[in-house]
Amino acid sequence: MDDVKSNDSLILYIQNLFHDSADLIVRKITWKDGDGIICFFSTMTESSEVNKQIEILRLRSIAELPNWAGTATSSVEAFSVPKLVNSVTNGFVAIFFPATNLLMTITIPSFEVRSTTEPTNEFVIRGPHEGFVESIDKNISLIRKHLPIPDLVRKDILIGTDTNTKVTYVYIESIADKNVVNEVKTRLKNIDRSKIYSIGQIEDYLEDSVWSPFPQFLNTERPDRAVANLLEGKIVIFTDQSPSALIAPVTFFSFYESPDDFNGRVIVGSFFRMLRLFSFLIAVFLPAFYIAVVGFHSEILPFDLSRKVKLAVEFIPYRPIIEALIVELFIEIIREATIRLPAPIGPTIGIVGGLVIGDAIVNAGLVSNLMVVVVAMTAISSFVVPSVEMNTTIRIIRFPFMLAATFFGFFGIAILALILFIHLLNRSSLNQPYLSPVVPFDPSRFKNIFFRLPYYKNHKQQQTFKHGGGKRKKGDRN
Amino acid sequence: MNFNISRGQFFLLLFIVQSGSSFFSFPSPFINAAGRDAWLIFLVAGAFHYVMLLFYEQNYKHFKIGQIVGWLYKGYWLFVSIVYLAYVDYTLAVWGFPKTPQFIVIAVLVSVSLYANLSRAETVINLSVLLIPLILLFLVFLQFAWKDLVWTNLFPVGESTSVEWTKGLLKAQLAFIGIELYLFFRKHVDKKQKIKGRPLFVYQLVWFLFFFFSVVIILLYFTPKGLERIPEPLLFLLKAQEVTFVERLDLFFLYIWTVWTIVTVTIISFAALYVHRLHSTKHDKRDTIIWHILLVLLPMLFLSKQSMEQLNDLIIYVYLVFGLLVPVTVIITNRRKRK
Repeated sequence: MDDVKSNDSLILYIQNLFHDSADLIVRKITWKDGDGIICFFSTMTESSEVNKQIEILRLRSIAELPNWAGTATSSVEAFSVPKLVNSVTNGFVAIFFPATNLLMTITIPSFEVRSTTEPTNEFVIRGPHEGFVESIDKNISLIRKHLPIPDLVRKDILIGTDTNTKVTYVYIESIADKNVVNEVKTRLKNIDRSKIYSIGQIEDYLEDSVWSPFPQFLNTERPDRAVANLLEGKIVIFTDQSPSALIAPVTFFSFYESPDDFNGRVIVGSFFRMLRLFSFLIAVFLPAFYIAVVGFHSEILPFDLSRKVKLAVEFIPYRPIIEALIVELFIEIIREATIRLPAPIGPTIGIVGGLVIGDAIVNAGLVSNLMVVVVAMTAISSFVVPSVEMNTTIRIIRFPFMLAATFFGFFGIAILALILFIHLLNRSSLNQPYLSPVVPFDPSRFKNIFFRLPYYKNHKQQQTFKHGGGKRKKGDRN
Repeated sequence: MNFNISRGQFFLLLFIVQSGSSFFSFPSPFINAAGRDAWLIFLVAGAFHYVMLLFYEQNYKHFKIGQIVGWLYKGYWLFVSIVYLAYVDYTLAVWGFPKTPQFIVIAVLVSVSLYANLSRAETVINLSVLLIPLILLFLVFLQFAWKDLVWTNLFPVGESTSVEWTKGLLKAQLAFIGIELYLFFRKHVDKKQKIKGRPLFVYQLVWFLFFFFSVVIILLYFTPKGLERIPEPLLFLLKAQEVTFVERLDLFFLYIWTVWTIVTVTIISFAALYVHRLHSTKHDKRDTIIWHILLVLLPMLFLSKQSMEQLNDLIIYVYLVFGLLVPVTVIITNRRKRK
């Protein structure tokens, strides 16, 4: 700054700093102790409010109030170029006073944020119909609306030297495990990357095992789901410009819980929870089971059923695995297409793809009608899980099972199931066991996997793989 | 290796290893040797098992082994694993994969143990949890045979000769194999949890009832003559059951038993590597891989029916050395040294 000799050259310097951007406002303003330079982006600031705030601050300055710049919306600090850049790019109004070398920042943001609509991929029948949006502040306000308590702590961290992405983690001080909070903090601080623009990137850095197909963070756009998890001692992580929140530490079974369980009746909630877990078994094992039965063990079926299966596959020109792959691939293509298609056409394509082409493919003798039934049931079962990540995981892991069944029949399925179980035993979410409360076994929480109990009390997750490592709050029941 | 386990985890691990491979292979040789009084003989064997557990519980703190005894145990567990793997591979070849090269099946079986043993200790310890629902399912399906059971088959009692009693008690030791793990893992059980007294008795009861139930149900279902020709009577019994939804129940349980055996071999491998690490902390991963290569190669030498029968006869005597003789010797020696 030594080369900056006058306010005009200072204005030019700031304009150059922001490459003379068209929405940048840099002007000289008159102040009590000499001129100041005001600087802000008109597209990120409520311009009509700027003059009002400046007038208020000017009057405070003239009245010589102690700490005249410190108000609810403004603050003052020693000037530095990085601070100026950071303030302006984050939507603050910055006023630099060259005479005193102070930088005053005023918060008058004006960002376009959509309204809080219900997330399209996490519908519930009963319960709040609001969702997170692409603004951290608005998302935190939604959580604070549910949890008006002083124990709710918010911590911010800026990640990405080029993108300056704000990452926020939220937890309840009295419930969350301090080690887990510190772990999140450390992992976030260790992210050494210049460009961070999505929550998926953050997830990659935070996960214990990035190569596992199983998600170790629960993604949600629902404030009520985030709040329920906060009350269980978990940590919720947001990034700016993303409507998704990451929740951890979680267990495998967390992905099978839905807010609907607690909004509906006890028995109904329990029934659907068990149904979801059963759907996991169908989604992963059914096609493999079918392939094993047709290819290796047709004798296990009762005679009548066995005859029908044989009749169905008799004229199919290739092995069941090829049949299964054709139909599975076909279903995946329809699913992918319906996501990208405009909303009014999507269901039509689904019907045409599913019914018309499905029927034609069977009539043409390319696949058997039984295989279509099996794959359709599998596809529907995989969509039962109330988590998009787990849903995709299930859809992927059934392929190795199908291959194992092709080579070894039931033996292959049994071996792969064992390997899958070991894989899940090895997994952790923020260093905490993924299969808890089954392993390590916790009888007091085990029932929660299957039953939604009559009333809901927050509980904490098992914290280590070692026996006796889990801590519980006195009075916790579920 | 530092790990802490609960009482439940400890007993489950012990139960799985003891029942692992032998529960299908145990009843036939035992009943053939013991005759009609097999169930009475097993009552006596059960009492002996309890005495052993009490002895182990009393003295496990004195069971400290040196490098030589450690190597002997590693050899013993290698032998037990080979017998189990050869047996399961032979059975699979007969029931499921007559044309598949046997080394492929063994390699697939061993790969699971390798994966688990390259993971953290808690993974192997908790692996048995997967079997709990499968064991319950097995017991439930055995109940379907109740209408075919002939209750008078249990009587008359007292007809077995002293030779049959001796042979029966010896063959009953098949169900004891794995009990020696008690001495190795007992010290890792949570100090706050009591083992002595009721918990130990409950474990004894569960172990006893499980094997006793399988012996009794086979005695009630088969005639002694018929049993001589059936190597896996439990599988045969399941095969004979008629249920509406499935024609061959036995096939499901064949694979459940396969999983059971794999878990057993995994735990035994874990025990061997645990003992190995007591005296050698270097090259953990390399040693684990070498152990599993041996597990793939050595069973290949014993895949014929004759070898299987010889190994099944031999394993009892090897067990008596390492489950009874060596522990008693080590414990007495250490107690004397302490004095």
